[in-house]
Amino acid sequence: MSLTTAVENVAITGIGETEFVRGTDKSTRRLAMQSSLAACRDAGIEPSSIDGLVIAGNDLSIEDYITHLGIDDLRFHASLHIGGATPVASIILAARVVQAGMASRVLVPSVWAAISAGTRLGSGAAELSTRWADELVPTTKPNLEYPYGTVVPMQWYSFHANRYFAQTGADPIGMERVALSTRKHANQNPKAYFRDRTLSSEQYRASEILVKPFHLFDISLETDGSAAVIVQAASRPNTTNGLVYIAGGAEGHPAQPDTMTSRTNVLDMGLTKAAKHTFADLGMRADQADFAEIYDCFTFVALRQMEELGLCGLGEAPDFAVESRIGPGGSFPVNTHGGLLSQAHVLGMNHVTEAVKQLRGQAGAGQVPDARIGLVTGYGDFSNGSVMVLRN
Amino acid sequence: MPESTRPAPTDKSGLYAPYFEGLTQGQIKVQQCANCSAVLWPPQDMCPECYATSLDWVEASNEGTIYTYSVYNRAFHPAFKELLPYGAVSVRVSPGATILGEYGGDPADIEVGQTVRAEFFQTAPGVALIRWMPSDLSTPAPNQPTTKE
Ligand SMILES: [Zn+2]
Repeated sequence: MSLTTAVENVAITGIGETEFVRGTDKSTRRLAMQSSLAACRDAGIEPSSIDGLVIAGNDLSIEDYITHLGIDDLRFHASLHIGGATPVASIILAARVVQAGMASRVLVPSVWAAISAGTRLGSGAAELSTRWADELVPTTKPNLEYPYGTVVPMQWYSFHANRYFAQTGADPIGMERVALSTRKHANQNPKAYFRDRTLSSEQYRASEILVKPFHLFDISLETDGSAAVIVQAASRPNTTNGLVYIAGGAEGHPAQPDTMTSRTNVLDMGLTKAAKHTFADLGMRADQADFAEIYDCFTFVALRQMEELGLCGLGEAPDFAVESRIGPGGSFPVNTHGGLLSQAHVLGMNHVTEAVKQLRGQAGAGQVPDARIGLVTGYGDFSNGSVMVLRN
Repeated sequence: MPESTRPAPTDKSGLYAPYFEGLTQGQIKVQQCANCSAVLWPPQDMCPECYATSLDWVEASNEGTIYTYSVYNRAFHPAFKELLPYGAVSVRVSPGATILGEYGGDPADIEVGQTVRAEFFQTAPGVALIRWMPSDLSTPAPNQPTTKE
């Protein structure tokens, strides 16, 4: 059997989201069940009839989902943990499970209650490094990084960024362009946390550089929220919404995925491999999509993915990411919902639900006209990557 | 807050033991495969080139060039609050490893490609860390870690 990233006849038939807030009295479990129920309702299926579950990067258990959703006969489950690359990788797995006949109605939920559950990554919380040392983390972190105060993602990824700008001579203004364009998308999305707050170049430049080269507005939001999707065979859905097909996709991993600070090539990203396989198998280029939802934990990480998707060359993303291209009404809109930077951080599952809304024509003021093909990426931990092509 | 409250390495007796023991003696040690001579860093249990499990520890150069770096204007652990702005540099050393340490000069002066030399400082009894010094500030390589800091 030859390898392929192409998926046949599988669709996302339901999407569900909670409200996206900073501060909630709902538990992580309750948020996850709320979005899961909403996804089932959207797909027109009974929650009890779910027969597959791919837990996308959260610590809730298979038992939590079975007991709360009253699942009668769960025939498949998996739990993936590759950081922000998890939701897209999980949906690809769910699609393959459906295609293989292992399950027919697969729920893929993500949840992150960064504020209310006290799991913020950018807080500088005093106990952060000691708490993480107790968890299952690569031994590289507590031994090689924590002793030098290197604890959180904005620090890890800064090593990638500083090398990149020095090596390529790329213009750091690309980061500002992503921040401002993404905020403009958010300003027309009622579900975006920053819907009512505009961002000017002056505000961006006046903001503190927390970790070189990242200004405050280069760093994603941390929020409380959950989003989920239902994956089914395209021939069987009972849904009033238009079908959104999963054309294909893949995950990819860099060499030395256990460290950013001590590796041989800090620019190495898993997305490079995932994108190469996916676009070759689907016989397309990234720029043939009508829009892209690109994982934007940091503006810089979005820039690098534009390059590794093949939208432009190494060092060229700052020139690619002009507002007339990636902003609202642009020729290649990116993060039409406001992204992790300005909508909410649901591990990137909100990128998936937004792409589905776009392809159903349900994206409101941010609707991309005649959207037929959408890209969604994920990025997690030390440059794990994932990419998926959706079409209507 | 004294430096001794920094997060201490968690593996001083296992896989990383030769590395941390080397630091207390003013040496940077990295893994090298006894079978195929591949340099492994960070350390691991098996060589990914030939799958040998017999891995030696060899002394790396105490001098290298900055491969990449960061400057922290916020502390994410309380021990670093009074050290801000804090420079952290990943230094490429012979025979082929990238070693993270703190930067001993003004963080505003850090540049990719810059030559730096390792100094070693004690943070707790039996625990030493690396401070990469720019060449104009570095003193002749000390053989023993200094105990102040
Ligand atoms: Zn070997």
